[in-house]
Amino acid sequence: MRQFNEKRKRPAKAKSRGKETGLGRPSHLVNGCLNNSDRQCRTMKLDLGAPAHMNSNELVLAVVSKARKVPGRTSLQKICYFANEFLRTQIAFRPHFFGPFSVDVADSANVLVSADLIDEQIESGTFLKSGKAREWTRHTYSISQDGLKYLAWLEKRGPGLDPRLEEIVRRLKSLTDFDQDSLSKLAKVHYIRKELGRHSPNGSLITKRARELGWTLSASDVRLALSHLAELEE
Amino acid sequence: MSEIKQRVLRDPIYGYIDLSEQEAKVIDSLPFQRLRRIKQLAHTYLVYPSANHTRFEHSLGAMHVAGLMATRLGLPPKRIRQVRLAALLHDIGHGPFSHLFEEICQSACKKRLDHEQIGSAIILSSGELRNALGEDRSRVLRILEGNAGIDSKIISGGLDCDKLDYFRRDSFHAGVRYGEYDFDRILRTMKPKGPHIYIPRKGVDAVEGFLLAREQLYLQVYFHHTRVVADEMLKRVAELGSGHGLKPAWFMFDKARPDEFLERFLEWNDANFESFLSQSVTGHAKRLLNDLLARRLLKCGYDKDMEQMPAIPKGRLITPGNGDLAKLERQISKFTGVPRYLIFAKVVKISMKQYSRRQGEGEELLAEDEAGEIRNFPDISKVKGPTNDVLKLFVFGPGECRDMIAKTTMRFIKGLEN
Repeated sequence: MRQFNEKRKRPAKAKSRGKETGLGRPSHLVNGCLNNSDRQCRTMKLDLGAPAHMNSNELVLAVVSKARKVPGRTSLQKICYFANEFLRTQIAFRPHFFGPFSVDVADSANVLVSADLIDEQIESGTFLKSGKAREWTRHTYSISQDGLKYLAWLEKRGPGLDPRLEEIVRRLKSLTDFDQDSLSKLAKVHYIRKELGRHSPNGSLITKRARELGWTLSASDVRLALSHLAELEE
Repeated sequence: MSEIKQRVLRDPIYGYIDLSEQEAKVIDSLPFQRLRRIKQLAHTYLVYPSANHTRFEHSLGAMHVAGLMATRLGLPPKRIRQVRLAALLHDIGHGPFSHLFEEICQSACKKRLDHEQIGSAIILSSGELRNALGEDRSRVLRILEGNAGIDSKIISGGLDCDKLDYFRRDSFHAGVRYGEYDFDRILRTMKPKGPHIYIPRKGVDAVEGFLLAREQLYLQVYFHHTRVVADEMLKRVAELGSGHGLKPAWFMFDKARPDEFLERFLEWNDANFESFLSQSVTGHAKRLLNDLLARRLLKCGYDKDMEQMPAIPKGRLITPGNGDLAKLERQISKFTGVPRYLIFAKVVKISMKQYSRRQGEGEELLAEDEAGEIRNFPDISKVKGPTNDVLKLFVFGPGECRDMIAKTTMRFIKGLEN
C-alpha cells in the first residue's frame, strides 16, 4: 500500500534559495507555501511504492482534477511528467523544447477536451521582444461536470486514484505555483539527473547535457532545481 | 518573380506553376520523386474512384500557393524563395498511404512515427536535397519546425498553403464540390500582423466559405465511413500479421541506425507496401487484405457522434487500451457468430476546432471586426459550427449483421454506465 509518512518540514531554507536566482518561487508565496494545507503537505514523505495502473487519459484527467486549474500546456505536460515519474505509470516522455514532453499526454488532453471531460480556455495575444511582435497563447485546463462524473466512476471501479497523486500535485503547486517556466526547469533538471544517475547530481554535467538537448539552464537554475527536487522527493 | 520562371508545369487547379532552377533540382531528387507514388488520400479512392492524386502534385500546389501568399504578405524575394522551398518539402516525410502509415506503425508496432520529424531527417541527410537547397537548408528546416514567424504560418496555421491547396485539389480529384471556396478573395485580402496572418473585414465572408468547405470535406471525404473502414482493414492486416510472417522491423524506425532506416523508408510507397504485406501475411490477415484489394469492404453498422453520449461510456470508449472497444467487438462477435477479426469498433476524432465559439479558441485564424480590432475568427464570424472537435464511434462488420451490430452497440453503451 502506498502511503505518506509524516516528517518535519524545513521552510526557511527554500525561501533563501528562491531569492538566489530567477527561477525562484512566485513572490506571493510565504515560505514557499500557499496556505496552511500546503505547509502540512510538506511534512509528508513521498513514497515511490508500487507503480500506479493509469493510462494517459486517466492521468491527465486526475492531474487536472487535483490541480483544479492548470495554466498552460507546458505546465500540464510537466505536472504529468512528475506524476508519471513518481507513480511510474509508464507513459513515454522525450526531450522537447521546454523539457520532457509526452505525445500521449498531448493527445489525451486533446481528446478529453473534445469529449468535454475537461474544459480548455484559450487566451492569446502578442508581446514585443527585441522590437518584434511575438505571440503568446495560454491554454488553461479545468475539470468539467462530465469529467467529475467519469472520475467518480473510475474511483468507484477501483482501485481508485492513487493517493500519491494529490500529494505530488500539491507539492508542485507549493514549489512553483504551476508557473510553466519553473516547472519546465524543474522537469529538465529531473530528466537529466535521471539520465546521469540520481545519486551523483553534478551541476556542470547537468548544464552540459542541457546544452546538448538544446535547453538553456544556468548554474543557479540547476542549483535551485536540485534543492526543489530534494524537497519534492523528501 | 524573375528568378522563379525557369521551368513551367501544368496543373489542373492553377493552370501553370512556375519553377526556379533550385526548385526543379529539389523536385528532381529521389526523395521528392517518391511522392509520385504516395496517394494523397490513402483509400479515399474506394469511395471516390478518381481520388488517386498524390503527395507530389499537392506539394507543387502548396509551393505555388505559398509563393502567392508570401508575395501578398510583402515578404522580400529571399524569404519568398525559402517559403516556397519549405512548402515544396512539407510532406517529404510521408510514408505509404500518407497518415495511415503512422497509424499502422502505432497499432502494429506500438511505435510512433511522425512524418514531420522524418521529413526533417530526410532534408538533413539527403545529399541531393542538400545540394539543391544549398544555404537555404537551415532556414527551410526552421520554417518547417514552426520557428520562423509568419513564414512558418504560411506553411502551417489557420489559413496556410497546405489547406488552401488540398481543399481545392482533393475536391477536384474526388469529383465533389465540398472543398470549393473563394481562393482569390482570401488571397487578395489576407494581411500580415507581426507573426500572424489576419483577414480584414472584407474577407471574412470568404473565410466563412473556406471553413464550411473544411467541415464538409472532413465529414464527407476524409472521414467517410468507407474510407475509415478501408484504412482500418489495412491496419488490422498489419496487426494480425505482426508476429505471423510480417516483420514490422522491416519498416520500423530504428534509433540505433537512423541512416539505414531512412534509406529503407525512402524505398516505400503505396504499391510496394501493399505488395510487401501481401507476401508477408497469412491466414486471417491474408483474407482481410484480399477483401480490401478486391473492395469487399466491411459495412458500417453504427456511426454516431459521441457528443450526446453520457459521461461514463464516453470516458471509457475514448480511453485506448482499457479494453472496452475490444470488449464491444467480442460481444458483437458472440451475438452475430462473425469471427472477431471481421468486427471493428473505432473512435474517430474529427478536427473542427476552428469552429469553436469558446473564448480564445481558433487563435491561429484572426480577422478584423467591425470596429477595426483584430480578434479570433470564431468571435466575429456569423457561422456557427460545432463547438468542439467531433468524436464519432464507428462499428463495422459484415453487411448482413448491420442491424445486430447497431443493437448490440447501443446495449453495450448502456451497460457501460454502470
